[in-house]
Amino acid sequence: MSAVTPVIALRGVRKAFRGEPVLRGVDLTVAKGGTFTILGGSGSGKSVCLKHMIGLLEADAGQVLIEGRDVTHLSESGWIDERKHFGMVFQGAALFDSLSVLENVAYPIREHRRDPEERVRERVRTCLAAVGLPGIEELVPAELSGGMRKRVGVARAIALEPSVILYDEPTTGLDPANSRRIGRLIRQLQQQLGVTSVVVTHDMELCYATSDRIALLRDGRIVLEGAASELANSSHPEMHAFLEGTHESQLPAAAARAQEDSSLA
Amino acid sequence: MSQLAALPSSIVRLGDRVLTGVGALGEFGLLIAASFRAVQQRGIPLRETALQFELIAVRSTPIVAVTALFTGMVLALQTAFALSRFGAKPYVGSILGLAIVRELGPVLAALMVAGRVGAGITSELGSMKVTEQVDAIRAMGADPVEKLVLPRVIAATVGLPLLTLFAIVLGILGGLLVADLQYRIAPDFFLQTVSTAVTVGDFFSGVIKTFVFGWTLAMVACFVGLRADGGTAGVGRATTQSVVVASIAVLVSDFFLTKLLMLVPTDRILISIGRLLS
Ligand SMILES: Nc1ncnc2c1ncn2[C@@H]1O[C@H](COP(=O)(O)OP(=O)(O)OP(=O)(O)O)[C@@H](O)[C@H]1O
Ligand SMILES: [Mg+2]
Repeated sequence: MSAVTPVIALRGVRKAFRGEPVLRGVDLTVAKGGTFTILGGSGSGKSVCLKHMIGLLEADAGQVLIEGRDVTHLSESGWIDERKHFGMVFQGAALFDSLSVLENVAYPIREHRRDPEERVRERVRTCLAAVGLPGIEELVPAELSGGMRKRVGVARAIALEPSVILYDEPTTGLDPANSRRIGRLIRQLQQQLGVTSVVVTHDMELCYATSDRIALLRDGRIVLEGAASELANSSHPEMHAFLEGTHESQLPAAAARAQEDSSLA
Repeated sequence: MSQLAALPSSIVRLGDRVLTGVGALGEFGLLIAASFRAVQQRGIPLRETALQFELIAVRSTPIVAVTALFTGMVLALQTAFALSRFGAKPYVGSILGLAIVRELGPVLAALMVAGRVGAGITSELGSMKVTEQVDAIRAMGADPVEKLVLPRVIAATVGLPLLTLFAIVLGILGGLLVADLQYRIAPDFFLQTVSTAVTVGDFFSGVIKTFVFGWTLAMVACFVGLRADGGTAGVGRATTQSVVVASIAVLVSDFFLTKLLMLVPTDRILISIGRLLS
């Protein structure tokens, strides 16, 4: 693994907002063609971490490497070139309100290619079909549900066939069937096109269905990183604590039952 | 540190605000530089600029028309009222013409546009900023300065002088109406007094200022919008701030530009240019 240059590497990345540290030295390595999942509690800095990988935020200290090149303090115009190979799904979708779905998904294509109109529309149709939303080209974002916006965001991120895609909670707000569809899409892109994916999620089903490697972010550091196959059925205390936490907040009944059990014992 | 702690907190806060202000000024300078660089490297985004021209200039014509017409009318009333004390009432057109061409047309158009367009630009870009649409533009390898700032700034810089010409015409028309209906000054006499008083140089010095006003107010509106944070409340704050700052910038720069233009013998320059051309 060390023989191949990782697509993305963070080395001791620190970031604070108004004196409040969020990242306190994050180290992680994303290998080419894999799916890397970042887990972590709400507010732990997962989105901030992702934004460092594409230059939307600049690290206070540490290094960001893309294919071995140091891009930590790259100028905005330097980043514009790097970002051509990236797609990003924003947590809040970040669709352009003033543009139709067609123009939203076509945006990166029109920006970087001089394709004939018919080709652009064909590509948009394919991408929308891939996220299970065929034929909604003429709608505007205000007419879409939250889950639909999210999926249009995914369609826009894959439109230019990028080699790296960053997904910020791609399945939050989706029904189970559509969540699974997104999971399948992520795997498909990886297997058929060799896309490298970084996925931030709370969705453990998605995590186990797509990940090669998993990292757990807590207190501004990666406290655990490993192959998905190892972590899936490991009883690592950090992982256990994270999952327990998730379960408690999602299933209060189960937590209450657990407490009952312990008080009986 | 301990010395700092000994300072009254109000002074520390004042110092903080000064530093923040200086920092903001620096960032404003960087945005200006980035906008020139974007034009140089990738040219003018024509389609989007045309769209913004429609939104910024064309759709401002009604508000500018009403403002200019009524200002011209009230100015005729006031001028005639004042001039009648000296028995010079028929010369309303001279004073009104000069006032509207040199000063009121340009400044009123600029202030109306600062209010209407400045608020519009800032709230739109501010909403885009807080919903990460600006980040989305960046993430797709595009430049928000080229996509958002340039079209608006260019449209305002070109649009405001045109709106000013329109305001001047309507302001004089308003004066003419009041002079005719209220004071029985014949329209052709009124226009004659206007055209003898107002020179090409007056016209030039009035309109040239508005290129600067248009550029300034759009630049300020874009800058404040792109800096918005703190959700929708932040967008509201930014919008108010943008209108206040842009209006003040127009008024202050107007004084200095006017002073500067008075030092330049515009009439003589224009005449010699005319001779060279003929
Ligand atoms: N642009 C910013 N300015 C100031 N603070 C920020 C900014 N972006 C993030 N933060 C802060 O950084 C912390 C981490 O935010 P982040 O969005 O990365 O959390 P997250 O792990 O993605 O959480 P969630 O799962 O809820 O999305 C939060 O406390 C947030 O307030
Ligand atoms: Mg997040």
